[in-house]
Amino acid sequence: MQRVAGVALAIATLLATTAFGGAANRTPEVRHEAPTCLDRSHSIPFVACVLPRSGVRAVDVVVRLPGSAAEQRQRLKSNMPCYSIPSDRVFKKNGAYTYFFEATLASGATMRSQLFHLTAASGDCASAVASGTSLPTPAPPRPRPAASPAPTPAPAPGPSATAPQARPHKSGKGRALLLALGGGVAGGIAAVAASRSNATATAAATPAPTFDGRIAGAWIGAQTLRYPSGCVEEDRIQLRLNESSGRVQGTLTFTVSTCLCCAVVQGGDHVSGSWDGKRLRLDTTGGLRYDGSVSGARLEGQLRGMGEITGDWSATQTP
Amino acid sequence: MRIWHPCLLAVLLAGVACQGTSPLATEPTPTPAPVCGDGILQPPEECDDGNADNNDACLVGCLTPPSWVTSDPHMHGWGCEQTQRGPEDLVRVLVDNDINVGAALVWGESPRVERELLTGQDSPASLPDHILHYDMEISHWAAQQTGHLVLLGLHEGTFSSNPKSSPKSGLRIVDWARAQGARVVVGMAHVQMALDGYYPDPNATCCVPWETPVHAVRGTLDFIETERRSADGVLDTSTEEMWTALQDSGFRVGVAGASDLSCIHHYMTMETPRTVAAVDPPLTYDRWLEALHRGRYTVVEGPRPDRLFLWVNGVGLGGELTAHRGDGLIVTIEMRSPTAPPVEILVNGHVAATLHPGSGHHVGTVRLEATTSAWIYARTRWVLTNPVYVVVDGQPVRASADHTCHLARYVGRLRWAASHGVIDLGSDSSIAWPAYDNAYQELQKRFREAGGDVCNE
Repeated sequence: MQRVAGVALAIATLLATTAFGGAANRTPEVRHEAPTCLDRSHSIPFVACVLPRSGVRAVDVVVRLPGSAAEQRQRLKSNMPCYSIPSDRVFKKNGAYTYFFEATLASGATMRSQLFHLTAASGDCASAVASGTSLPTPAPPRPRPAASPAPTPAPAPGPSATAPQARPHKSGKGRALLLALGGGVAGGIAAVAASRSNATATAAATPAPTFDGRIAGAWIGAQTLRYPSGCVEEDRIQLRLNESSGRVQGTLTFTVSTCLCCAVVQGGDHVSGSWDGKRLRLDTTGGLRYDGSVSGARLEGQLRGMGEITGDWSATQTP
Repeated sequence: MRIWHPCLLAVLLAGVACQGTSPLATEPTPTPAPVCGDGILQPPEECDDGNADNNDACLVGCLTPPSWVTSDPHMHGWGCEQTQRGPEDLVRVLVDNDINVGAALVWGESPRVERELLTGQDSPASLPDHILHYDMEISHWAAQQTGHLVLLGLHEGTFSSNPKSSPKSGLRIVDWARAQGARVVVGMAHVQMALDGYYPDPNATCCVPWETPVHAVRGTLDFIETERRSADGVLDTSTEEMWTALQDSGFRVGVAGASDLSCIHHYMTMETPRTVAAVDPPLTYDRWLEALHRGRYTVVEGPRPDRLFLWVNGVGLGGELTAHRGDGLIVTIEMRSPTAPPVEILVNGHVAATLHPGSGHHVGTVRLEATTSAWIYARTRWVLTNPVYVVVDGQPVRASADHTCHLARYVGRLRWAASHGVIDLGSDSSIAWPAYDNAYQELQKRFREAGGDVCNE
């Protein structure tokens, strides 16, 4: 993908056509939004979402540095619902970088995304560096879609909930935007991107709140549910919790954001469980169990339920 | 639901990058990503009031609670044992028992003065929240021998110049009723009676629902009706088995509860089944009929306040959704109960999940995986919903070869009864026999489609 005006966006499908999960139409795809410049840290936000996640053993990013044919490979860390680089890599050279993502499936097969291109120049994203917040200079106009996207919901906020906190120095919307899409091929991807961009930008400009130790209150985040068939459902979630002497009660509501194999619907549950100051356990009326713990300002953990459904979840407390 | 973005399709199919025209490149908008509960109404939410209170116009889960209407689709003014209730008396019964809609059915024992109350309009005695409407039951007429039909939404009630002798089958009567318009709803009463499990009792003196499977095959039956509770559930054994067999065989026939006042029930009791329907306001008899026609109703035991609704992937009772094998199914229930009965979610007649929401007003969500076409419903000790239908990979429901075989044998017994004088079809033979044979063949076909091998009569 060549550099384009404004935010460089790429949707790439992994090149292999092998399907896993038992359905031919579930060939994994990777979604990644490439930056157009490097920010102060001169790191490339290697965040990619691969869907369906089930059946994917690992995801690597492979980078070719400017003026070199050598490839540098690095394993990405699962950062629900996507994958991201464990720590920022600094790219000090100016010039053309290319990179791609490679997924290793449980079967041992590997599949590659298309190449992404990034030209780094001195002073790239300098304005953002100077301000430390959003870009003070307007971004170049962007290509407009040919038609308005369908009004469908935006996806889970995994990246927007995690990336801004992990990367507080990232610049705001428009350029050098760390934005990984939750995947899926549902209509309304445009709305997905737009709202995520905004969410990311807003979060980047506002320091993430710190966890005050109280579980009671409202939490917003995301969850990924994996069905035995390989179906992956990604939701935005909201927890409303009350706590008394370690007993927790409340509600968990969700909105399906992306799912190749389920309807875009919303729903809710009453939850009850326990909180010991570090670990949270919740059971929903519908039979899902959420185990979580505090990580920074977030709650995150696993979920499981009847029908061998498993998954991950994370949420950040809202004021 | 699979909505393919055209750009992504292009990428998938041709490897074409969509960077220039990709909707992904749209300007970010200030619209936040929707999450149910954030107080901002965004698709696919039906509502979002941002609170965790179920006792308002928006449930936890951002679903609009159904507007429940209690009803009795089968009551009589001129009842058994010479009971006589005029319209005002029947409205008083509705008021006293908190029933919103009552269908007062004229029948073979109704005097002319009552039959003339069947006008196609609500009774003038109706009150705003208590609609009384006269319709018809095929009872104490010749055709009752093949089953007591409940005919709702009629505009007029003259189906024969001599109904005591003709017709002798319900088939022609159903066709006559259906011809009166799309609002007509047809039920089969007394399914709890005169059945030994699946099979009709040829020695019974009343109310054998002989033609039930035939009507189902003809696609002219909206519901079967029970007027009796069971010791451990909402449905009696006979009704439950018939309903399950019909559903397992791919017939979308609902189940309703009624009093048959004052024949089966001389008074409304705590055990008199009711039909509680989800009717969008304002309440009218036609809207209630539409709810019955669409399957948006439940059976509740007595005047209990228990309510239960079910959505699968956002599709409510009576609705249909399509899916592929392996797809995720998001099943949400809304339950109101002063007690705390467990809620069972059943897929093709088998319990797939049990929820324990506790007393009060609760919402719960269960995730299932689509494996085969199915009918999904929910039940508690006190209330039972009609199904939501899931069509997987375009296949019809063929959930149990055994159950379909039972229906085929049932029709076999009907044919035996008609050929041995138990049922006298008279001049209706020319219509009834081909229908019986066709029903038998169709059931044998569905039996084989369900994986059955041999189903002998």
